[in-house]
Amino acid sequence: MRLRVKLQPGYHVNSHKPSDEFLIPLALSWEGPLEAVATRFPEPKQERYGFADHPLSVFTGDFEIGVRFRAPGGKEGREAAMRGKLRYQACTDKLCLPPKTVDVRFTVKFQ
Amino acid sequence: MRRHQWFLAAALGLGAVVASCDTTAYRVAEADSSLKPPHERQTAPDFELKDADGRTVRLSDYRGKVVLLNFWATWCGPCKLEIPWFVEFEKELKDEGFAVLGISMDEGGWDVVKPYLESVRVNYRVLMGNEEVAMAYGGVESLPTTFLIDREGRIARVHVGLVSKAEYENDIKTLLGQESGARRDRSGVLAADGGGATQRPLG
Repeated sequence: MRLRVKLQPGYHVNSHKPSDEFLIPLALSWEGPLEAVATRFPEPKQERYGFADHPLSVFTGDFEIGVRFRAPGGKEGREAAMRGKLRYQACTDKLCLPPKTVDVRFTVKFQ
Repeated sequence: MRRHQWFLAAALGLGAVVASCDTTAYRVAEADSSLKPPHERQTAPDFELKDADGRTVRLSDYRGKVVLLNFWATWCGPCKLEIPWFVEFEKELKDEGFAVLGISMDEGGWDVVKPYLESVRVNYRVLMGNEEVAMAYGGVESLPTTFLIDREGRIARVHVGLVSKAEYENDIKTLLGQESGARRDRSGVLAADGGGATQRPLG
């Protein structure tokens, strides 16, 4: 499954591996019958901003997060809902917005 | 399981800010382009918050001083750029009747904030904020948001986002020079000046 994320121009979010211990990382978690066995984030950008001494590991613009799931056995013919939470914290070069969590949902039909 | 290719667009960034605030709260519309003239300044909402030592601090404790009230967080890079400036202002101007008050909006609380304050040797009072005080000040969400409060407890200017050190210095200098209609000369004698601004050099 690929989760497409679109950031408004001028904003960046910290990557899943930010360069500063105080920064809030991008994080994706799931609840439901499927097990997320692998999450693939894109390669972060190392961007310089006027407020920081060193480049920050960030995502900007549009990007995709890939997730590979494993399905449990014995569910053939049934449907199930997966609920995810994408936590992020966005800034411009002048200000920051508080950390937020976006709900992600999809339904899967087992065959 | 049939593999599903699911493309879900999650729009991040500036979403709708849904907030329910007390209508009597200070209304922060936008950042101010300059200091408001005294007759246009609204009273800064009073609050009771705890400092790093657990002591209760009220804004009203600072009546008579010019206060720089700064909403910030450890995860806010632009906020942390300003903090050394505020440390300098506190050191140089506290004897002029000036004080910095920081309000941390860190969800992690003092466990996160105290180590940071020690690492940068913050010399002014930092309080732990909450949703109530953020709402009282018009729904503060963007950080840093900084209020310059005059000696009579009125909001003279609001800055939303990072501004220059010089801009803060100019505003503080002006507010320190503005008295409430009477001024006290160095001998301690009150003299009426009709409320005019008297410029005094910094430091």
